[in-house]
Amino acid sequence: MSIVVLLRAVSDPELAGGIRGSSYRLDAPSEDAIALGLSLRSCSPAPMRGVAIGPPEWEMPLRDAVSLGLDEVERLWGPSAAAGDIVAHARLLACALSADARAVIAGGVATDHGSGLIPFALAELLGWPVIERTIDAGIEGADLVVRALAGGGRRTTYRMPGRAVLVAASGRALPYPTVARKLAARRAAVLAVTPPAGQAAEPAFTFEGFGPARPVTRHLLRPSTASGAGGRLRHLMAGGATPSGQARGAMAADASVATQLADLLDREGLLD
Amino acid sequence: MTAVLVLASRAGSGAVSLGMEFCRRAGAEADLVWAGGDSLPAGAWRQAWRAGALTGAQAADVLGQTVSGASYDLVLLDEADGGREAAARVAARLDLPVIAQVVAIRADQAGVRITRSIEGGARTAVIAPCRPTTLAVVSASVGGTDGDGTARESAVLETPARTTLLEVISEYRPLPGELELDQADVVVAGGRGVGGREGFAQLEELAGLLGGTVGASRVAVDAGWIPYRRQVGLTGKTVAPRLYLAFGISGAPHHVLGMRNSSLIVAVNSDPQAPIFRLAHVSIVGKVEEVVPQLIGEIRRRTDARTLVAAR
Repeated sequence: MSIVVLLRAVSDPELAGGIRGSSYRLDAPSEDAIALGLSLRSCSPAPMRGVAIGPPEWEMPLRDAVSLGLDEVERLWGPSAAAGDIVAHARLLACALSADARAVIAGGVATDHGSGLIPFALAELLGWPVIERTIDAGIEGADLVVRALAGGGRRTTYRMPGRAVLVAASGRALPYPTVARKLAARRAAVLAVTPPAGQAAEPAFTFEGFGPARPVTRHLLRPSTASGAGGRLRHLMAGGATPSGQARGAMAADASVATQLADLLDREGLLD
Repeated sequence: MTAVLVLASRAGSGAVSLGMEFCRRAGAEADLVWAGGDSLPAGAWRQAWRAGALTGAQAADVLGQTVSGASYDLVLLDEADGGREAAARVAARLDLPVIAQVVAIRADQAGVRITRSIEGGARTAVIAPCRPTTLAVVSASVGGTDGDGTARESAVLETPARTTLLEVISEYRPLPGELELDQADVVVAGGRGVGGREGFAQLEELAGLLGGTVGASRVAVDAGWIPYRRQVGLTGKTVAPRLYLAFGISGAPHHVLGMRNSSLIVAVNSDPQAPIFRLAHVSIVGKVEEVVPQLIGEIRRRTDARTLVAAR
């Protein structure tokens, strides 16, 4: 039995020019996945392998993953991996899994520009169940027992006889690696694998260009009848929007506030 | 003519909003699979099917059947409510391209162009699909509109039976006092403006209704209104819940450092100049002692109504 952790690195400008020699670091969801993997391994010793789809610049953060507790790491990269297609990535990962893999653990976002779709596509290809927002995992007898967050603050515990794809919930703390472990990890080998060209499919889409962030408004508030004329005017001039960082759209409390807030929570899926 | 299929389960769905806007501008027609309430979401649908409440895997089965029997250019789903799982499963099953975090769709002479958010929302990318059918998962940041829609025909879709390998052993909902701050999806936090222990009792009631827990600023902890383990901030705990409700908290830097990564921040304060409003996504100038009981009443009314419908 082995545990596979999906890893992803992100560029961090603060690391550029530093002594690490890499401006990439593991992203937070990958650290969540490692922490969950360590929790699973603590109750059932098993080799833990990291797999990433990324360029050679990711090798330093992958060694960081080794210092955090992974036994080995593998990096997949080639023309078929560089396209960023979710299904193609899932197929590559499915091929890279060893036959004895008991659980695949991913962070909240996956390797494809942070879409978070890879774990589901991978589960579909493997025919395994997938559990989102996992907070704890262990082995009881021959079964995998998993505790996950559900809506309305509920905790659900699942038991399954077979294998599963687990998506780690955020916020689990990782143990800080010792200096000796960090130094040893610096010399760890990262297995680089180029997927065979035959696995490359025709592109699903092409990137035509990039642009600035799109301003998005999640909620529109009606101007309050309780506010003064000036306040209502400011609210209307802000389009009723209350984007982060701007208090222009602040509304004064009146009888409709509770209704509007409850509508907002309902739309965000926060009311059970 | 471009054909669009929308799968939605919630009023105010971003997929419905983007789909209808695209159809209006591009002269396209849209079908709907509706897994929501009684009335259809806003829009003139060519055809609509009704499905019951669906899990992500069930939605994938329904969507897979609908898509494989027709020729849709674009299939739109919401990120929430199992949409991501449904899209990824259908894409893997039918080998269709899927694009996530979609914030805009347009059509020009060259065809459909999809804009998605990348790098955590710092940039966008414009994507041209190369295959006949593309799945698009609409970002949760895209808001929608309410309203009653119309459809030429409305049928009921049978949800396929699905065997699951998962056995649910137990399910429980922790009380607000049992839930640690860093484990909660919802944190209802109070500061000086809450006024005292009675105010925090109301916040605890609200947190219970939302399945969350209670947090506090240093001022409230120092006043002895709530224990230290509930303190959020530099000298307390750092949290990043889906919802952070800040009642009567001014937004001092040491508090903000502990909660600024929350997905949705709602601030209620009687001071319109409170620094928390510079950070909040929704800002309400008002008295905590008025807003909290109203909100508790409104949420209780809605949850009671849902319980009644479920019991029927």
